[in-house]
Amino acid sequence: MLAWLFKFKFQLLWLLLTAAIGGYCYYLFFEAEDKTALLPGRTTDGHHQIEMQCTACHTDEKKENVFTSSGVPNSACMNCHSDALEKFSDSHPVRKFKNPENAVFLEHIDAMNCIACHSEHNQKITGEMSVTMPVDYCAHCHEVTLENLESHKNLPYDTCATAGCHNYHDNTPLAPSYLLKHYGEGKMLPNAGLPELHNQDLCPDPWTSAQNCASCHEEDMKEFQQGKHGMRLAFDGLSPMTPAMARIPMKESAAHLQMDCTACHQPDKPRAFAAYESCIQCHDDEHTRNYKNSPHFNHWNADPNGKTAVSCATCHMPRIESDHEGYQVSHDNTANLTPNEKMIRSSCTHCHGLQFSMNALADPELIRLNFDRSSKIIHPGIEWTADASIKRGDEKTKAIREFLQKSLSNTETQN
Amino acid sequence: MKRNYYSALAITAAIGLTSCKSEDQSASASGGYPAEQVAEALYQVLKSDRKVYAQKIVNRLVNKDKVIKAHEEWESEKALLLPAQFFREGAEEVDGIPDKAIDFTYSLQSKWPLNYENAKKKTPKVEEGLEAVSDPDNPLYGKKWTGEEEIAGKKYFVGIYPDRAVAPACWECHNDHDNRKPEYPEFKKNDVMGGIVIRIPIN
Repeated sequence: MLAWLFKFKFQLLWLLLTAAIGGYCYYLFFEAEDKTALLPGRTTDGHHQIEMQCTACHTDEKKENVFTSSGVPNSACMNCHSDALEKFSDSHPVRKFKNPENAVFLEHIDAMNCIACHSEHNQKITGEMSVTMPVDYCAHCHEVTLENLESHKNLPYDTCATAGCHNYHDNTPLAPSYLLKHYGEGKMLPNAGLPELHNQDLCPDPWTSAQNCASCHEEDMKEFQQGKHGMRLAFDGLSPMTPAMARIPMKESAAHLQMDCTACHQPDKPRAFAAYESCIQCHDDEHTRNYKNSPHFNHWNADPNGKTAVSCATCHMPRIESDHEGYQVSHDNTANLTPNEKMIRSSCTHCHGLQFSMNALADPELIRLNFDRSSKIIHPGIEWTADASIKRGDEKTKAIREFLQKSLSNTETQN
Repeated sequence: MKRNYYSALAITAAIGLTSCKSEDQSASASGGYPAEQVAEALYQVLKSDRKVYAQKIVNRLVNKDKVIKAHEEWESEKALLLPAQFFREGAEEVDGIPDKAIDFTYSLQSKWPLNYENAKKKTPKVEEGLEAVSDPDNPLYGKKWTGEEEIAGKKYFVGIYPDRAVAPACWECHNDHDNRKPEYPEFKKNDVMGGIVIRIPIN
């Protein structure tokens, strides 16, 4: 027997190895709950929640290339992102580049394909906003503007999209006319306060499940599924997101909680639970931990129903103008998160002046400390725009500048 | 909604030609009609819509009645689109239509551009055509210029048609614009300010 085993040792070894590999593959494909070993590389932070739903991106449309990122058609991206792109009037939609005269630009960036800038499973080259393109990409087409715009001359090409000013898709936050309109505003606005919500009727039904909520709150549910909390619910067969799945610091005690409507909205809990307590019970980063030391929380603590009471939800689930009537809470918790200047219009400037808000969001240390003081950084965007406008003969902006300079001079004299 | 309407008009004009096509089968990319003829039809529609928008919408509501402004950041300013933006939005809507019966694209270009990025798209043929239709000393001044060019391995018919100053809103804005260079001419009524560039792929 031993002699026989010895004689066929290589064949036996081969058989054993084959069986082991086959068994492992069987286990991986059909039994294992964690199938991440099948991934060709780490997914981006925006997609990791649905990384095992391969067909979400690798749809039938370009099946011949399913094992490469080129196998992902734009339509797969648009299935989830089209509403958001439509909402803020995407400044670089694919159709903008279809005219053949754009060939001069497409030589540098294949702007007709989402994956030209957002390729997946490429951790080493993935940066902010899941961009896998070197960050000086704006300059390929807009170099001529940088050269001609007085305020932008000599700015490094990689700062367009990284200095908190411009964004390839949603370029509305800091549009020049908006900056000018709010030139000269102070720390607090005279009419500081959140807009009233349109419909605040209490829900008459028992709050039991996401499906139950969706029967009335269809749009809220749709928005929720576009954010990182709810995106798994948009796919059949995926369980709700839990803190255990997150890549950012979470409390172990909350690891098992499921992110559906009732994670934040519970009938027997006060409004504060949905507003900030539900966030704090899971999130364990410095920004969250410092919330209760912040002036924002002091306002909440003084009067939770006050117009200037600020909770986590005030900034991260802002009150936005509804398509129908009045204001409603946005349930897409990711929509104004990155780049953070998107938060300026939807949240900060309900209470704070624009310059103060821009300064704050340009200060990473201040964000970490949850805005426990004013920013030490001064964002130059508004002054640049004012310079250009004064040069054009804008008397109103000139008068505001003179007033600001006089006020500053008076303060310095008093000090 | 309106821009869709105007784009639809342009397409309908072109498709209308296809439905009564001639015996000339040499230009299959333009539905059996010679590309130049299709471009001519498109130009008539585009020129008319552009004139109506500049005169009867922008100039009337902004300059005469003063009830609304036209602004580059039209969405956040709750304002009218600038005429060039209106034209470009329509062109991009057309570009976004999949599987068009007749493939065509159009855009605005000028010898004296205010939008420097847009100016970078000018091909040598477009430069040549713009020079012809914009130069008062050229026999093609104010008329059309046609030619062919190859872009990214594909051949196109190119038609360049004069784009004239039809309302004070046009020349006042261009003459007063920050991006206007010192060597640019001072425009007045009916001057050729640029060209409408229409491209149709040819087989």
